[in-house]
Amino acid sequence: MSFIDPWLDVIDAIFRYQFLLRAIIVGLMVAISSSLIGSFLVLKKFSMIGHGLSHVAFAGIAIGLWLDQTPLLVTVPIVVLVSVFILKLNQSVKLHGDSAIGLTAAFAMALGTILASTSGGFNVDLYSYLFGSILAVSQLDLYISIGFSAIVVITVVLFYHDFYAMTYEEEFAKVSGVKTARLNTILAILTGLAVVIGIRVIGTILISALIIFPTVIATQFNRGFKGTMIIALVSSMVLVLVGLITSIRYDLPSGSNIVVVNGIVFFAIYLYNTIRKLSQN
Amino acid sequence: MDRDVVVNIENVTVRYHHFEAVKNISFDVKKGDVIALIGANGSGKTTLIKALLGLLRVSQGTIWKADGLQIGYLPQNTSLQDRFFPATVEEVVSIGLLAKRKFPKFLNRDDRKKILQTLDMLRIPHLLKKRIGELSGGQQQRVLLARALVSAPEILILDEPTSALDHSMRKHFFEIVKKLNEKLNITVILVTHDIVSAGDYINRVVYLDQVIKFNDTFDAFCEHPELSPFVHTHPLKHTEGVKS
Repeated sequence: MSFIDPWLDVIDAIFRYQFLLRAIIVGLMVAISSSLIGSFLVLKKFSMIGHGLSHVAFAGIAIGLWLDQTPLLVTVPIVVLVSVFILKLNQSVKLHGDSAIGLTAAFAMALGTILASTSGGFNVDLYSYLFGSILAVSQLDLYISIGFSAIVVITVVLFYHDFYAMTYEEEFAKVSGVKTARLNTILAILTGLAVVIGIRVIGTILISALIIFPTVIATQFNRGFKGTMIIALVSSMVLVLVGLITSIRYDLPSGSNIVVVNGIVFFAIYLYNTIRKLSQN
Repeated sequence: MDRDVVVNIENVTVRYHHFEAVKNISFDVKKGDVIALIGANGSGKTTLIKALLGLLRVSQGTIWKADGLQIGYLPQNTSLQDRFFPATVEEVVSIGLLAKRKFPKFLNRDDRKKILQTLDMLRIPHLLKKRIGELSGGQQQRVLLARALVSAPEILILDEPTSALDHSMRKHFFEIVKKLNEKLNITVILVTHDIVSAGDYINRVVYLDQVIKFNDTFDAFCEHPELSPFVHTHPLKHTEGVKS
C-alpha cells in the first residue's frame, strides 16, 4: 500500500458518507465566515470578543441541553444578544473592552458548568460541543451554517468599505459619515453568527482560534487590507480542509486538529519571515 | 451673516459631566481663513474641534456650517500609524473618498485617478501601492493629508498635524497647507502647539483657555504678551520648546 492510498480512501469516504461531506461543507462555512469577520476584529484589536462569545456559546449549548431543546437553536439568540450586550457594555458603562468580555465569558462559563453538573445526563453531548465532532454534524447544522455564512458574506461584501474604514480609524470614519454605531452592532451580530457556525466542527472552546489565526497568518504576507482579507479567507479554507481530512485519516478530534494545523502554519511562516529578516540585516 | 462666513460658532459650551471643557465660545470662520487654534493642554482645543465635526454634542449654543460644506479632517496623533496595519496608501486615501459616498462603495477608474492626482499634488504618487506602515512619519502625514483632501473639501481641520514631525518636516508641511489655501482657496483650521513654525502661514490666531482669550491676527497676537502665560515679549523668542 503506497503512502497516498489511505488519503485517497479518506477522500473516497467523504463522498460516500453523508456525515463526512456535511462536516467538510460546514467546516468550509466556518472557515469563510470566521476569517472574514476575524479580519475586522483582529485589526480593530477586538478579537477577544470571539473568545468571550465561545464561552457564551458553551452556556447556550448547556441551556439548550438542559431544556431538552435543539442546542444550536437556543444558542443562536443567546450568543447574538450577548455579543451586542458586550458592545453596549463597552460603550455605555465605559468598561474597558477586555473587562466586558472577561466578565461576560466567566459568568457564561460558570452558568454552563452549573447546568451541566446539576443535570448530569448530557455531559457526553456537551463534550462534542466543547471540542467539535464531525460525527455530530446534522442536516440542520448544515442548513444553519450555510444560511449564516451567506448572511456573513453578503453583509461583508455590501459593507466592506465601511467596515474597513471603521477598522482603520473609527473617528475619521464617523466624521466622514460612516454610521459606526450601527456598523459595530452589525459586526457584533455577525461575530455571534460566526461563532455559532463553528460550534459543531470546531467546538466552543476553540472557535475563537479560527477568528484570529487566518488574519494573523495573512498579515505575515505584508499586503494591503483587501489582499490580507483574501489571503486570510483562502488560507482559512485550505487549513480547515487539511485539518478535517487529517483528523478523519488519523481519527483525531476535528476542532483541535484544525487549530493545531493553523498554529503550525503560522509559526512556520513567522519563523521563515524572522530568519529572512535576520539574513537581510 | 457675512456671506463669506462658512462656520459660525455662537456661545458654544461643551460639558463633560459637570466640567465645562469650553465655555461660551463664539467666532466665525471665513472662506480662505487659515486659523491657528492654540492653547495649553486641556484648554479645550480638541473638544471644540470635535464639537465642530459633530463628534461631541454641544451642551449650549450653536455651531452653524454653510450648506453642504465639505470638511476634510486630519485627526490628532495619526502620524504614528500602527506599523503592522495592512493597508496600502491607495486604500488609506480611498477612505476619504468612499466613506462619504452612498452605496455602492467601490473604487472606479475615476476614483483611482482622483487618488493619484491628490497624491501627485502632495508629490507622493510613487507611494500609491506602498503599505502605510513602511513609510516615514512625514510621508505618512502627507498620505493622511491626501485622505483629507481627496474629497475636495472646502475646509480642512488639522488637529496637531505636526506634533510627530521634526522641524524641517513641520516647515514643509505648513508650506503645503499654505499652498492649498492659496491655490485651491481651502479654508484651514489648524490646532497646534507650534505657533512658532505656523506663524508665517496663518492669518488668524484663536487662543483658547476654556474661553477665548484672543482672536486676531498673528502680528496682533505677538503684540499682546499678557494674553498668554507662555508669550512674554514675543512668541518667536519665547514659545519654542514650550510643552503646553
